[in-house]
Formats: sequence, structure tokens, C-alpha cells
Amino acid sequence: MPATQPSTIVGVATGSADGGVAILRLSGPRALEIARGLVGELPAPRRLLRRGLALGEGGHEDALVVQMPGPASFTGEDVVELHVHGGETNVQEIRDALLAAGARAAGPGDFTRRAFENGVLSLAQSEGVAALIGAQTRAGAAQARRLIAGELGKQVREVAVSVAELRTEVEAYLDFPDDVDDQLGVAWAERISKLHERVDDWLSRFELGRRAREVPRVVLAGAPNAGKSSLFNALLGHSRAIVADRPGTTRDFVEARLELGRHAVELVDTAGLRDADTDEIEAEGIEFSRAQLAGADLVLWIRAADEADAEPPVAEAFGPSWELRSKCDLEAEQDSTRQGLAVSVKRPESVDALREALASWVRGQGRAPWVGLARHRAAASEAATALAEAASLAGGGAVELLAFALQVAQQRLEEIEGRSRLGPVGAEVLDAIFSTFCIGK
Amino acid sequence: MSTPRTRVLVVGAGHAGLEAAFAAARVGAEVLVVTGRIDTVGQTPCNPSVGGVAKGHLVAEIEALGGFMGRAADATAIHGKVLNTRKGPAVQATRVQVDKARYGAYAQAALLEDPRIQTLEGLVAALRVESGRVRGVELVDGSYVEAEAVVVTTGTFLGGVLHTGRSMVPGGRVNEPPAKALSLCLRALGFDLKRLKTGTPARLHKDSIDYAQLQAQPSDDPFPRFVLPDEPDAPPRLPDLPCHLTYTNPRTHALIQARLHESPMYSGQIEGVGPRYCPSIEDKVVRFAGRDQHQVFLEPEGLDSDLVYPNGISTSLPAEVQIEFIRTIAGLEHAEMVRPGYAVEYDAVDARALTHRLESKDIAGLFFAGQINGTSGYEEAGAQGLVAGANAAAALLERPALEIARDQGYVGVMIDDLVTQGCDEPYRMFTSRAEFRIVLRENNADERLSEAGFATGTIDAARRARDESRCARVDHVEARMRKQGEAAVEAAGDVEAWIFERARSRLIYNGYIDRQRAEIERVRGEGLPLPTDLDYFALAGLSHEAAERLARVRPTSTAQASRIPGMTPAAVACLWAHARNAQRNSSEARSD
Repeated sequence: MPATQPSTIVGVATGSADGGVAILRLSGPRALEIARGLVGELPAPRRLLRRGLALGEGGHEDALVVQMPGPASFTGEDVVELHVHGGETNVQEIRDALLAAGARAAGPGDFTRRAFENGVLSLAQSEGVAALIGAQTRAGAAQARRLIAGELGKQVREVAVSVAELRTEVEAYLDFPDDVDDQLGVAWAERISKLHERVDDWLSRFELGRRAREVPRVVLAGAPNAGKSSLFNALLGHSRAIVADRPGTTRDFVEARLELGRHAVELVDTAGLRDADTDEIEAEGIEFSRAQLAGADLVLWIRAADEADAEPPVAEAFGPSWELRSKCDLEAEQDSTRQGLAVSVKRPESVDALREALASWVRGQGRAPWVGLARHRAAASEAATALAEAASLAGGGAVELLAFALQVAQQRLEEIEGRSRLGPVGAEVLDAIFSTFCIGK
Repeated sequence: MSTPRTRVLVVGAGHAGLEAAFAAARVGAEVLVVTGRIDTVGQTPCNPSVGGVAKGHLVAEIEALGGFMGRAADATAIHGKVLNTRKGPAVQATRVQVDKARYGAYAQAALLEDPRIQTLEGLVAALRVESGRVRGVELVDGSYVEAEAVVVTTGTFLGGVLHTGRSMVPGGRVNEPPAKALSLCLRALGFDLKRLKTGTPARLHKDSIDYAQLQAQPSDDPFPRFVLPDEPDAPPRLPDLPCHLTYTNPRTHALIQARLHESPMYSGQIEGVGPRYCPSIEDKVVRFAGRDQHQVFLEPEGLDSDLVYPNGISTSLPAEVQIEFIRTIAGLEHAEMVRPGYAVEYDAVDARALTHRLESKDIAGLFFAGQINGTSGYEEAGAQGLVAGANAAAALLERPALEIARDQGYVGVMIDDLVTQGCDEPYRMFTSRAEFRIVLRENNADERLSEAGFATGTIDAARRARDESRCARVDHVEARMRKQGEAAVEAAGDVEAWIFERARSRLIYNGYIDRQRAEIERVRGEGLPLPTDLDYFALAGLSHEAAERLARVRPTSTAQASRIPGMTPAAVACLWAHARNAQRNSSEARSD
């Protein structure tokens, strides 16, 4: 049975073709040959030179051409890049010429997938590439770069190796019944607990990383006329929401990006929550507010200081929240018995303090975020569960079950990097990861 | 000389050869066993013990497949223990000491009494191969014996050399000549041979040991058995003898250290690689320099034998050094050495040239089993012999092949390891090699293997029916335990202890078994079939190194490929993609 050659793929590496320059990237065993067919002699490796590009019907296009022979290329295969004029039609025509010469159109993430399959990038590093492309904040981009550099892999490998060593010892104990030692179980339990703590520590810092990457939603909520919209505008530093001294002014939710240094949050202003006497439009606004609360990463629950200790009019269940007393300039005296942060749009220093509190919440009060992404957290979390199980089994007689729990922990940790003792992670996982990329990456 | 046409010819009558012959006969073939000396069949040249952790599992599997070893061990056991009793039932294992002479005699009688097996004394010099198929064997006396299938089980005899101190004698065992010509013939046929070694300690005279100083180790009560209690014709039991425990000490170690240069392993005279886990006392002294004592079990070799096997001090030091260090050990101050210990070096084939049926990939009808495939131990040899013999016969009689999967038995784990990874040192069975450890219990071997054995023909319909009804009884007790609780069923007292234990084991692992399976599927991905004639060097995306490893093993599935040492995730992913494309193409071709 003859083996199938992997195809040579072509994709537009610059995404939308509307820019001034578009880059077409070829990768695969026939990349050099296909490129030569269009441009003639290629420049020496890793040198960018101008070449004429022959198109059909005597057409001719100028291009800057560079070849990067494998394995020292992004994909680990022979790669050629053609830098051509942007524009949908032009790029399309060149792409068609390359397809006609035998290249295959790249699918989403195909280039990075080849880099993974050729061993140039680990799975976690490949995911870093996707995260960098999709980064919405500077902090998110910085994390993605750390992921690409292999930081996560290094951390995880350390723990995975320790788990593997422990497992080898446990299994040796099964196979050599003469070497019995009652103290072993206690020592094992201690070592497992230490490893468990490390994984738990990653997990506890995952949220910080996600906040930095994904632009968390901070929702302002409270009773009608509590001053949410005023505070919203004050935080942003410009008027975005309509403000009036009348309950129920905000009927829809309004959102805006609040930049906080290297970080950012999505600030959401909502309609005031109340049960009674609402017209149809306001009722709909309240429904929107509830949906926003449910999806919030942080709720700022606002109560006007002149509304004496009013309870939230609707009992809502939502995630982390801060209580704020707005219009605190109306308070007769600073009343230390009342709860929550005091803020007033008439006192700019109080708004600055709130902005600083939000920035510090996003940054995580000095704790470094874990660079792992959602898939890594899922795997680490299962590893933590398995380690907890292992720790509880370590003192007892069921050593074969302890070995199994350690095996699960080890495999989950190895899956983070995309490898494991018994083989690669399943094809479904790979498909899911690489399909999130865009074509040309 | 012309002999009648024989269907399956077995070369050798050690543990692999015996199982191969009996299995081939049970499946329905006519069998001829060619062995150097009929009076030494079924020898236990090293420790006369059968079973142990993972090895006991293999014996239970041999027994479940209708094999010989479990019965022979039960018939001749003089000491028995269940190991790992403080751990879960999956890793508990039976180990018995057998009466060495009686074990051999039992094997010889069984071989000679079997009406479908003929035995011929002689040494095989060469295999005759024509158009990719084995046709028969040539003996050293120049005669030729035709055969449709040949199972080679030469043990330590292939190119065997015995070492005691600086003396080197060609041989497979003491006073038995090696098979030299066959070694050359296998090389000429294209097999890669490598040198392995193993060793055995000195034997002591039982009356020269001072037992008063030593700890006695009695057998377990009830005495453990390999043959299930409800099987007919279970062999009767011999009386049992205690073993004794003693220890080496710093004086022993110092003495060995000082004379180390006289050991052929350390002088470089032995080039073969020995087993790591059954190290010689020289190895232990060097490797565990921090330990000031090692256990030595004194095991009687038989009811009326004068020999005692000191388990734990295997050595190839010169005889005079052996007796000197032995006498530093408590209880052995006046020990008399009846025979010195020695090491044996021998040739083994690279088992990656074999299929999971233990048949050569290149020469049809040629099978290999036992130490020649790189394993160590009677149990490992016997289990392979059974599979090779059964398959040799099944192929000729057009019965289903006996291929045991890794989740079906330790024998499946062992064979898959051998044909996928080969081995650089003698391979011993361990529970840690079995990823389906909690499923593969000694006490469910029949449940795992009965169906496969019956399909190939290694067990008959009556045995299959007994297995099924036994399994139904366990099912019933398990259901009762779930309903009434374990304690209530135990208190009712109407369930035999061994059936109760089986049901209890199932409950212990209930919940883990599915998890273990899911875990393994998860990392292996879907196992897709791979053609064995795939040209790996033409598969781009594979490194040359990965292609070489794959071409050597020629795996039959992506799952097997992923177990080849040194395979990168990328290489496996590449193979997987290829297999999936091939599968798609063929299904498209079919639908056209």
C-alpha cells in the first residue's frame, strides 16, 4: 500500500485581503517547487527579494518572496511566503494560480497544526498562538507570549514528572511484595498533598488569567435612580449613558470598554431593578438587567446614600459583587456603620479610588495569573481531583487503586502539553483546538 | 531417515515447549516434540517455584486456557503462599515451591502418555524454509523431519555458554550441550539475535544448615492452588515443607566486593544483558551499596531431595568464593555447597519480527516461544508456548487464532510488549506492565479467557460449560451482595469462600473498571487498523527515525504504534491521520 504524501497547503496569512500588502503562505513538501513554477528561481533561504510573478494570460505581478526550508520553519516543513499587493481580486487570482499548481487550500489552523504534528510546537504552545491572535488586552497578549514560550509546559512537566516518579515507586511496591514498609503510605500521602497544592494553586490563579485575557464584564446594578449611569459616565470619563434625576431613565443596558492600564474591563450600565409599577418597556429593561447580572464577572451593587439602608428590591443570585454607596456627598456625616465603598461623582478622588480598586481586582492584587487556558484548567482540575483521590488512598491497602489515581493525574497533566505516556491526546481534542484558528495561521 | 509427516513440530520440551505441544494437541493437531534429552523435560533448572506477583496471574491464565503448568504445580507443590495479601485482590498472587524431581517426572509422564504427541530425542541443526514457509527441520545426525508448522522453544540452549568464575563451558544447562548450529541457521534466515544472560545460585546440602538460628516460613492455610476447586481431576496434594529466612550481612558484602574482579560479569567475559529485577548478589552489592543486608530464602528442592535453593544469592563468582561468602551468612556457617552457582549466556531473537500469534512475519508456520523471545521465567515461557502451539495448530486446522488483547490477560500484555517493543534485557512479567491491572485478576482468569480458549480449541465444550456456570454463580452472589450487603451474605454462610472472594473482588473494583477503560481509550484515541505492508519511509511527516522504528515492528493498529518506544505524539498523529484517510478512501470506494 503506497503512503500518502502530506499535501502542500496555501493560505492568506494576513487575514482580510484589504490591506496594502497581503502575504500568501505555502507549506509542505512541494512548497518550493510550486513557488518556483510561478516566480522562477527562489531567493536564498530567509532572504526577502523582489520577484516577478507570472499569472495566467500574460498577467504579471510584483512580489517579495522568501523561502524558509524545513525543518527550521514555523511549520517544520518547507515554507514559502509571497508578499503581494492587497485587494481581494488580486490575492484571489494568485491563490488560484497556486491551487492550480497543486497546492491545497489551508483550513483553519492548518499551519499551526502542522507545527504541532511536526513537533515544532507543543499543544499548549499552539494554543498560545491562537490566544495571541485573539488577545484583547495587552496583559492577555503578554500571557499568550508566555504560553508560546513554553512556560506552562515547564510548570506542568515538573509536576507530571513528580507524579510519574511516585507512580513508579507505588507500582514497584506492588511488584516486589518482600519490601514492606508501613511508613511508606504516610510518606506517599505527604508527597501527593504537596503536588495537589501546586495544582490547586494554578487553579486558584486561573480566574486572574482569564480576567486579564478576556476583558471581564463589570455590571452596575441597583434600584432605579441609585445613580448608576452617573457613576458609569464618571468612571469612563465621558458621557456615554443618558442621565436624569428620574427613576427608570435607563431602559436598555449600555456597555463601554474601560481601559485600566495594561488591562481593561467591559463596563455595563443596566436598568434599575424594581418590581412594582413598571411599564412594558421598563419591564423589558429589567429583564435585560437580570441577564447581565447572570453573565457578570463582577457586580457593582449601588445604593444611593440618601436611601436609608434600602435592601436590594429584587433578591438576585449572582457571582462576586461589591456594595457601593453612591451620592455619598449627600451623607450628613461619614457614617462608618454603613457598609460598602462610598463614591460620589461630585468627588473625583472617590471615582479614581473606585477605578483603582477595579484595576487591582483585574490584576489580582499582586498575585500572578496562571497562563493556562480553559482546556488546561479542565485538565488540571481533573488532575487535582485525581490527586485528592490518591492522597486519600495512600494510607490504605488498595495500592493498586492508588496507582490508578496517580495514572489519571499523570495523564491529565501530560494532556495539557498534548502528549502522554500511551500516546497523543485524542483526535477530537486536536480538531477542537485547531478549528478555533483562522485560515492562514 | 524418513519419518511420517508431522503437523506441528515443537523444538524443545521445557516450559514453553510442553505448553506448545499440549496446546497444539488439544486444538487437534498431531504433534512431534524434538528434545535433546527426554529425561530432562520440564526441568526447573533455577528456582523450583511457580507463580509470584504477575507470574501467578500468568499461571492462572495458562490454567484457564486448559494448559499444563498450573496442574503440574498443584500436583508437585511442597510450599505455598499468597503474596500481597495486604493489598487489593487484583494484585494478590499465588506462589508455590514445587518438588523439582517430581515436577520433571510429572511433565515427562504427561508428555509420553499423550496419545497425540510423539517424542523424539535429538538436536535440531537447521530449519528448512521454502517459498516463505517452513517445511521441516534437519537434525544434527543428518536426518530430516517434515512439518507443516514448527514452534521453536530453545530456552537457554541457543548458543548457550555456562560461566562459573573464569571457566566457560558451552551448554544450555549443566551437562547438556547447546544448540549452536540452529543459532547460525536463524541468523541466515534473517533473524536478529542478541545475547542475554541469566544465572542461578549454588545449591546447599540441607543437613549442613543450622535451622535453629533461622525463621521458619510455613505455607498458607488453606494451601493455595491454581486449579479451581470445582474442576474435576484436580491433582492430589503432596505434604508441605517450610522454607527458612536468613540475611546477608556486611561481612558477606565486603567479601564479595573484594573478589568482584573474579566475576565474569564484571570482568567483561559475559557480554549478555541480565535481568535487572533478579540481580545476582554481585549486582546487589554494587547497586545497593547502602544496604547492609539482603534477604535469603532457603527453599527445599523436594520432599526427598538433599538440595536447598538459597533464593537471593544468584552468582557467577568462582566456586571457592561462593562457598566463602555463603558461610558468612547466619545459619550457613557450616553450609556445604553441593553444586556451585553459574550464569548462562544465550541467544534470543528480536521478537519484533513476530506477530501477536508469535509467528514469524516473514516465514509462515514458524513460531517462537519462551526465553528465545527474550523473556525470563517458567511462567512467561509457558504462557507463550501455549499461545504459539495453539496458533500453530489453529492455522493448520483453520480454527480461529488465539490472540489475547492487553485488557484480556497478562499473556496478551506480555506478547504485545514483546512484539511491539522487543527487549534489551530478559523480560519479566510485572503488574506495572499491565495498564488494565484491576481487570486482570488471578481470580477471574477463566471469565476473561474461557471464550477465546474455546473458540480456538484449547478448552473443550465441557470445560467451557463449567466456566459459564461458575461465572453465573459468581454473578448471582454478586447480585445478592449488592442487595443484602457483603456482611449479610457472609453471615448466611451458604457461599463457598472462593466464590465469595470472587464476587467481593468485583464489588471492590466496581466503578473503577469503567474508569480505567475510559482512561485508556482517552489516551490511545481510536485504534485504527494499519496495513502491515505500509511504506513508512514514503509517509512524509514522519521522521526517518520514526519510520525505522515503525518499519521494524510493522504495527497492526495505531494503538500498537503508539506503544512503540520513542514514538512522538506527532508521529502517532501522522499515522492516525493516514489511517483515517485510508479508511475514508476505502469506504468511498465501496460506496461507488
